[in-house]
Amino acid sequence: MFDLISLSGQIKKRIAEERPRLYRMAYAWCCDPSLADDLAQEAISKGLQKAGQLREAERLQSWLYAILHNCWRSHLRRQRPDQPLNEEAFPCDDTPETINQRQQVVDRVRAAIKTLPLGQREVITLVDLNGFAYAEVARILDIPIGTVMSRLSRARQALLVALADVQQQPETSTRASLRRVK
Amino acid sequence: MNAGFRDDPRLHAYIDNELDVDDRAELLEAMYEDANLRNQVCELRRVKDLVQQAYFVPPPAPQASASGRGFGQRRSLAACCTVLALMLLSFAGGWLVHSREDASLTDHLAALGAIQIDTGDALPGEPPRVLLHVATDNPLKFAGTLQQASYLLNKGGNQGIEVEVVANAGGLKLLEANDNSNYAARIRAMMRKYPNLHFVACGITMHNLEAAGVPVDLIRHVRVAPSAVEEVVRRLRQGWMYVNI
Repeated sequence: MFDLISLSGQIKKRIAEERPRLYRMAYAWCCDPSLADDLAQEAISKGLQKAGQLREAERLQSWLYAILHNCWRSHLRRQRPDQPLNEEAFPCDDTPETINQRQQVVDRVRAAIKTLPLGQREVITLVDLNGFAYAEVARILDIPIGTVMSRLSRARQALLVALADVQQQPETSTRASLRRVK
Repeated sequence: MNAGFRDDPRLHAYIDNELDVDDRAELLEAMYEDANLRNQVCELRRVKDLVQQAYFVPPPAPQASASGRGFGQRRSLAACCTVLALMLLSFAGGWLVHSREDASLTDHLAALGAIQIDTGDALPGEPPRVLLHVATDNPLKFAGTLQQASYLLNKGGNQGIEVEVVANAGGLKLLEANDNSNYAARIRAMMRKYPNLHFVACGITMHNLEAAGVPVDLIRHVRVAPSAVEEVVRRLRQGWMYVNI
């Protein structure tokens, strides 16, 4: 009994600790800090309510991000109740102009990610930001693993093109040898 | 540069740590021989880095009181108190990655999926040299990396083992000199304890962060290599074992 209580407590602690990364993921998907904060909050809240249902603690992260994804999809359905969700043409209200106070490269990359179709954006952020395995991403998004891989490949191809001038290797003279910092 | 190569799912799987040991060894051998292939991997790795860096410091969430729409209305003091109480009452979690205390060093490295390229000039009885690679900011991977490094150094201390931890992309957070980071304090302590432990940061990730205006203050004595991929290949050439955490 004590073990069960302890395990449940640890799971709940881990859920609460995951909040900054849930917020980051939600922001990468929706491009809106307010909405991202709300989505992360809702995912945390639902996760805490359902913590007792989680039988495999090692799957906590993918389980939690699946909850976040459900919250996000529910939001999209509420926003457009009469239209089927078109993943390939999901528009984003935020534009590079609205965030021009941020650093140029970050803006460029975020803008490029925003232009990705929603399905590709979800896959590349789950893989690159949180390091989820392809199989975990497939479980979170409830899609085949082959779809994960093809979306990831297409997303990276698109980013390679969109960020071609950001992709330049650093000057050779500054990178030719190892250096010590501090 | 052959753009078609970038589409090879093996390259994506490599940078995402999705290849099995045999396939990874095969690709690393190919990279060992083919500079163009290394560049392709570097290019994809840079895209992955850029995605991570774009959200390294996401914009702060607005204050709860300023959010008057959507899910914000669902927040309640009770929910916040519940979270706080759970955090206060819960037990400190241990590392989820447990070392295999009963395994020999060789068995342990094999279980980790260590790869070593036969360069033909390795001498028998040479001390083991292990490169641990971490590329995401997943706390479980950070904990696992440091735990594995400690385990290897304790286990192989009598054999003169050398361990190097290479971090790129989100993994660079592991090497940040953050006063509030338990990892930074632990790394400093490990550096003092083990002279044969080295930490290396990826120069490409550093460059991208600097270009993005994100200052990175590395822990003192962390080395910066031109790129994580180059460091991996260089160490493989020198006969090191490679473990992707």
